[in-house]
Amino acid sequence: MQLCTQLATHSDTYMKKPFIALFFQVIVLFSTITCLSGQTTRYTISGYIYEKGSRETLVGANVYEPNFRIGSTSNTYGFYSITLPADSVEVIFSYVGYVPVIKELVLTENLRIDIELDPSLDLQEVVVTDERLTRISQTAQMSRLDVPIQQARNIPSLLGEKDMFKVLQLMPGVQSGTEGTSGFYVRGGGPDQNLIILDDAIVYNASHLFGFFSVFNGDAVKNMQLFKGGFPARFGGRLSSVLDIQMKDGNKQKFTGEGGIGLISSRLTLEGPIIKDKASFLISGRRTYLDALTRPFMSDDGFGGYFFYDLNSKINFDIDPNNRIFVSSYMGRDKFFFKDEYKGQGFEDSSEGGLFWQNTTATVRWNHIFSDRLFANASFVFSDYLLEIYSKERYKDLIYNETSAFDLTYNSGIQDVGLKYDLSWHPRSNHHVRAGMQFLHHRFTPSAIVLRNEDIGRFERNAEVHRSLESGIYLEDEISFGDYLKINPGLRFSHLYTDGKTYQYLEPRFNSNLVIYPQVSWKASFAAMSQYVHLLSTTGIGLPTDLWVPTTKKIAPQRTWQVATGFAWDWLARNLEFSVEGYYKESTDIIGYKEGASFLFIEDPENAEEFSWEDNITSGDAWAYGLEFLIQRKAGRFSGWIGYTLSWIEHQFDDLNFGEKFWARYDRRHDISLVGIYEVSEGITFSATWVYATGNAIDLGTGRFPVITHPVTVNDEGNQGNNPWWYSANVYDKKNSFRAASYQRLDVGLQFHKDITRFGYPVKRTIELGAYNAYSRKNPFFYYWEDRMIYNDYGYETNRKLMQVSIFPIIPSITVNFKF
Amino acid sequence: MINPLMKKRNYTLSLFLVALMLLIFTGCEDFFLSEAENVDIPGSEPQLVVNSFISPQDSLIKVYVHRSIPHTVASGEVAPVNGNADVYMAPAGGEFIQLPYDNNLQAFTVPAAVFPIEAGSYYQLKVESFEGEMVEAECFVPEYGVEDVAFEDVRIIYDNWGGMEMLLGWTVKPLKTTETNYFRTGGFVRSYQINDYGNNDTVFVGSQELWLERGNEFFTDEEGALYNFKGEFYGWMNFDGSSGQNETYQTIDSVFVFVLQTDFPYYRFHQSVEDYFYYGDDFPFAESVHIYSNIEGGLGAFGGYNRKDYMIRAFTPENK
Repeated sequence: MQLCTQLATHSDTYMKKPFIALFFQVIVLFSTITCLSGQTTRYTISGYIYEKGSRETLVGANVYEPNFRIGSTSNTYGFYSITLPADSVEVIFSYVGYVPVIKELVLTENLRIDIELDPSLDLQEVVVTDERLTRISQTAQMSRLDVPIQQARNIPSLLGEKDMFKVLQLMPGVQSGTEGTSGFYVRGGGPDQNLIILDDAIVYNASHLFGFFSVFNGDAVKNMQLFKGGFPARFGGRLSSVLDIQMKDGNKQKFTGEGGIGLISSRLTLEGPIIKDKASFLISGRRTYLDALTRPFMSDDGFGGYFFYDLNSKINFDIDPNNRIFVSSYMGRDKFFFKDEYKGQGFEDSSEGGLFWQNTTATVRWNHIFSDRLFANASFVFSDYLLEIYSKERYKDLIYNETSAFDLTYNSGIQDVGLKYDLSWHPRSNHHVRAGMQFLHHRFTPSAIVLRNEDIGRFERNAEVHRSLESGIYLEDEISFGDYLKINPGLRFSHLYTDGKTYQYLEPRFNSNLVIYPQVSWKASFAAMSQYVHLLSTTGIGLPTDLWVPTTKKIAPQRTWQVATGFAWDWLARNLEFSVEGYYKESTDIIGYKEGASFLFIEDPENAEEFSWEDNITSGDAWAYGLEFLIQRKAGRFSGWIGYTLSWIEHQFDDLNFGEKFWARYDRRHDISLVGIYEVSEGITFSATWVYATGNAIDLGTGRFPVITHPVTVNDEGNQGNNPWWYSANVYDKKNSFRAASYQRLDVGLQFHKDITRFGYPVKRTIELGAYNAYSRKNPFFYYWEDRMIYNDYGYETNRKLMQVSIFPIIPSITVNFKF
Repeated sequence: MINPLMKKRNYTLSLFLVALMLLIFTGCEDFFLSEAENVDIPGSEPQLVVNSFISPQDSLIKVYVHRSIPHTVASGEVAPVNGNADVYMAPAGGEFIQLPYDNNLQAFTVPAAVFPIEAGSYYQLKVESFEGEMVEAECFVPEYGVEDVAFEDVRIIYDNWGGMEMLLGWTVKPLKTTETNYFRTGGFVRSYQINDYGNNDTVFVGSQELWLERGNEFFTDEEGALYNFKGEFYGWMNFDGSSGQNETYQTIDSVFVFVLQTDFPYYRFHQSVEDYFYYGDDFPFAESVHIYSNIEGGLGAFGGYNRKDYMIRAFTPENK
């Protein structure tokens, strides 16, 4: 009753704002019903779960009482709440890879207990506890992948750069795009259908180096979860996946750092207390230096280069036991550039150009604990993405003293400003209610061109600015019915206002888990999703030139619904998890480029006002279905996983393939991943990954044929032309009917760990040797036809050979990592 | 004292690195570019390519028949069709007639007097090559459904180099219907040449199309909207017979605007050809453009249209 009163008080405060009032009224109604049920005296234990030594909060830590068989988990801020009968209780706090803590208590009142878990778990031990709620067979949520951050640091990688996205691509249901790129495709969805959030802020282009690396520095990441289906109602705005990433908060107890020196980049992370146990900071940076290393070898007349950098920073402050403030930011930039000058007899010629793209995000968050059972988070988020391409040419005739100039600048971007408010409430031990609202203002500039040429004068197409307001309100409840059934029903209402038009949708969500046998459960889920921002991707290879475009009056939101079902099994004796899931998904109004269209096309600048990106895109439907298998061992001397995906992805666009269905470019029938990490000894770790995928679907011309069009001019007799126009064009079969060769790759890595001393300080040093594509498999990047001349007695004739371009042979790497 | 085991480990590490580097250099050869293997290339057989566009205004019906050349086959290995095929055409539900091969035109033809084309009718086409390939298609010849075509006056601008630019604007207003209709429009000039080598004979040079500056050559309509066009022509010509930079004089005889109402295959085929050559092909990182075909079992297009020409201005040496 006390709790119900608290909620009623808070709702009165906002009664003047109808929208928020309705939201709170629903909560109060629900809480009243819940509060009136149940007469047993219960008390709540709540608090934060930290990592011992750093005071870093632990996400998803397990809290369990085995006698009453009641459990809970810590939320994304490390806060937990468990309600137990007034009695003697034994509460087990545990987390994978950490030494569990057991508290024996006699409950006579609500308790606030913060827990520290020791990460110094002996690698030889496999602690098997009855950690029910962290077990896959016990969670209501299905289709969720917890990216193993610690394991990810041991997995071999391209050029030694640890990339969380590449680890995701090793999971079932998640596919990579083209060779080496870090864009990912989840259950048939394109790269724009993944919501990537870093501390609540959306990251739009999460790639460096033309898609070969992601922007996420693993040293700064605390937790990473990918939802492939069964999306909880608190997530919305994308169709295929949600990648929720939390940055570390920073060590509140001592100053530490870690870093690494690699072949193409180096990184450094520093963290430490500002006020011990109350406030801390974290700053983590990374930069390539290939441009700096190669610059001395280039002349001043002609040079080029590429670099990227990224910087994560965070400050957090515990105002009091019930209030915390976090300020986090991310800034990253990629730049490719060249400059060339030439002086000839009587003239000077110079050109320079390049392209760059950058992401900036910032988040301010406030955690507030209303009571032992009610936790809230308010966030202010900012996100900015910009792409710019530029080119300049100057020609000077020294004899006639004449100059000519050409300038081109193209930019495109998206900027978001938003507010979020989320509540987490544990009214009873078998209920976990979440509710919240989100408002996000989008500002798009899909394209803007400035072109100056001596012949045409100056042409400028100003940036078309599109603004839209996206909002969402949700309610979900995770309900346990004894030990055997858990359900998580939810409802999300999403809304968009743009161009004077309103779109709004109800998005029901549902997850369930039914234990059918000890440690074995059957799961099922349903989710309806809407998406209001779109990525125009040329052929889907994830180039930075892909355009983010808004929903407008002409371009409708994308929508999908997905059902999934499967089984999960925890083999506790071997510390193994098995899961198999089947899914079916239908999407409408997905967008793509029309045939031949490009993001930057000005043949005739004087008529470019008539060119609009909206006229260059088309919309259609998609169907995706498949099966996913996963066997995983998260801890122990030998860990890793085996994943297999069998899937189909079809598209249908009225403007493509003459309206007939066709395979999506990233449709791969079979996808297998084997990942193994073995602790050879305390100082040596060996790891290997092997991936195999059948070829993706490509549009490939198969021949040439004469194209004869209708002549419309007339001859002197007044008849239409006798000689038609002849061309030669490519023969295409059904769109994307060509299957590339299968993709396979073996990566191996060997790490040598050693404790050393430098400048009087203890340092953990790891030297990592690795080989990417260890047996140098020629995986296709793209195909093209090459003309071959064949000479014979009659002259010559031509035919064509299909050629394959591959980009990554065996690539060894050596990286030195350190931690102090 | 140096630990012999440590010395041995360092040596092993160095050998490992050297071996890896050797692997790189030896592995790179022929790695990045190689002939594709382990792939099935669809559509590796030649196909018949048939093109024919018919209308009531044609005096001669023509059908062009060729073969495509698969990339994997040398061009000399694919025999041209020439006259080695049987081509038949019929109105829907009617009797087929066979079209004989005309060597001069390199097409199968029949005079309109023998096989008249009527508006509002469907027509069928069948082609059987002597090698056993068979294709067929159907088209529709629409009624002419344009309510009005209006013109702006012709503007002529001479530049300092003897060239002449002509600008012409016009509008097309189709009849309002509930179905989608397809159109093609454009303009052309007819010019003649005065042969200055002694006899002053007039020789018809030919027709040259206007460059469409405003509007799309192929457009659709179902509501009877108004469509604006502007055509532009530039050439070393004149209207008054005075000298240009050429020794022979080319003079514009007349200016025409044409409007075709077409069926969907005609429209779609030509639109896709225009897109194909406008955007280019063979770029692996752009969406490819597929040229439309309504030839079942083959490539090309069989389409119908109904045409009307509008003469804007006629010029003769007498009334320049």
